[in-house]
Amino acid sequence: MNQPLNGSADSQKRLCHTLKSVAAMLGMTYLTQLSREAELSVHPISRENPLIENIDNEIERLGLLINAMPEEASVADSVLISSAILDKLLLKLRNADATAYDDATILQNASDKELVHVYELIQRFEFDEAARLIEHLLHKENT
Amino acid sequence: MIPYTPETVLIVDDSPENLMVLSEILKPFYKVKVATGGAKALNLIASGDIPDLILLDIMMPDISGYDVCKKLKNDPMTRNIPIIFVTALSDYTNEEEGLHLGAVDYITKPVNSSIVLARVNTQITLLRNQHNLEQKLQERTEEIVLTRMEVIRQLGRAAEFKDNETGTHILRMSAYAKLIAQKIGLDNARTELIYLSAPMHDIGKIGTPDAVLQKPGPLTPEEWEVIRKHPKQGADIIGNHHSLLLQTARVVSLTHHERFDGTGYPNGIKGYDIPLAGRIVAIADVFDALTSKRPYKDAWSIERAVEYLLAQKGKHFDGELVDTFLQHMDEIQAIMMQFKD
Repeated sequence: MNQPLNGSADSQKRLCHTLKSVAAMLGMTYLTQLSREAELSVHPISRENPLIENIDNEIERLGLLINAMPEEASVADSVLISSAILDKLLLKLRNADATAYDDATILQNASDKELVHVYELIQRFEFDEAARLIEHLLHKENT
Repeated sequence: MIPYTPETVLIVDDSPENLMVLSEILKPFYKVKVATGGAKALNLIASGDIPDLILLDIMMPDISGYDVCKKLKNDPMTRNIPIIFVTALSDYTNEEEGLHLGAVDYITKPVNSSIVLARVNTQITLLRNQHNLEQKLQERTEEIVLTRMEVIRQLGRAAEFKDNETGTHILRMSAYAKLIAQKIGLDNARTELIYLSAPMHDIGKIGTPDAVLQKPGPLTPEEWEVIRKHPKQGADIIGNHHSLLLQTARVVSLTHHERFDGTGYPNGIKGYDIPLAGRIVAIADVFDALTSKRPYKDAWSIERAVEYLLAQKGKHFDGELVDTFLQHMDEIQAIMMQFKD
C-alpha cells in the first residue's frame, strides 16, 4: 500500500477499489472489508492511518498462508468455477459491463483450457465472443 | 431517500489497451460499459442500453467515431447523450469536425487520468443539474404537461376514429409502449417521450381516404398501396420540429410498420436500423389490435396473442423487446382492465 500513497487521491481510491475486487473474488473476506473501508474513506489517506497498517498486516498474513501451501496446488485451481459464477459473468458480458474484466481474473489459471480462452477473450474485451463460448460451455454442462 | 445509482459511461475504442486504461480510471466512480467498435456500440444502444455519457474513439476499423456520432444525433432517443471524442488525432480540423457533429468535448491520447476524470465529471455534473431542472420545471408546469398529453391523445383518437378503432386503443397501446420502455431500463425522460408519442403513431391515417380505410371487404393491391402511405403521411403531418417529443412522434409514425426482418413498410429497413421507439410501438400496437374486438374480427385471447408475438420474434418484432414485454403479464392485464372498451 505504500507506493500508491504517493499518488493522487483518485489513484489511491482506484487502488483501494481494485484491491477490494481482487480480494472479494479470491474470498479474502477481511481484506475485502478493509479495502472497502479504505475506498470509502476520505482521500488522500494518511500513511499513519491505522487502516493502512491493518491492510498491510492482512496482506502479509495472507502472503504467509499462500507461501505455506503445497506448490502443486495453485490457488486458482482450488477454486471451483461453478456454473453460477459463469452465469453471473455471462450476464455482465451481455451487458458490456466493464467489471467483467476484473471478474474474469478467476478464470486465469483454470484447469479447463476453454475457460482460460474465455479469460483471454475478456482481457481483449471481446465480450460477445467470450459470452458465446460461456453459453456453449454451460450448454455442454447441462447436456 | 432514493438510492444513488452511478451514471453509466460507455467507452468505445478498438484497442483493448485503451479500453482497459479508460475503464480503470472511471470504474471506481461510474458504471462503465465497453465496446470494441462502432457497430457494437450502436447495437448495444439500439437494444435499449442507453448510457449517460460516451467516450468515443474516432479511428475505428468498422465504423468511424464520427459516423457513430452522426447516427446517434439523428435519433431523438439518443441525440442528447453527451459524447466526448477520445483520439490520437489532435490537429485543429479534427477537433472542429467532432465538435461540429455535436460532441461536447475532446480528449487526446495518450490520456491523463486526472484530465479524463475531470472532463467526465464536468459532463456528468451538467447532466445531473439538467435532470434536476427538468424535474422542477415539470412539477411547476404540471397543468401544461397534462394539457399537452390530452391534446396528443385527442389527435391520436382523431386518426383512430377514421379506422373504426375506439379511443381506448390509444390508451392501452401507449401504456404497453411505456411498460416496455420502462422494463428495458430507459430513463424517465425517454420513457415519457415514447409514452407521449405512441398515441400519434397512426396520425397519417387522417390523410387516408375513408373508402379505403373503412372498406368492408379485402383490399386490392392498389388500396394496400394507399394504406402503406400512412406512416410517411403521418411523418409529414407531424413535420420536422426542434421538439424532442415531436421528433420522436415523427420517428414512431414513420417506423411503426417496419418489421425486424426488413419486410415492413414504408422503407423496408431491418433490425436495429429501425429506431427503438418504432420497434417498441410496433409490439404495443399489434398486441392491442390482436386482443381487441374489431368490426371484422373477435378479440383474440391473451394466450393466442402471446403465441403470435413469440412466433414473430426476429420476424415482425425485436425478439428481446417481445421477451421483456411478455415477462410482465400482470402489468399487461392491469392495463387491459384499466382501459376496457
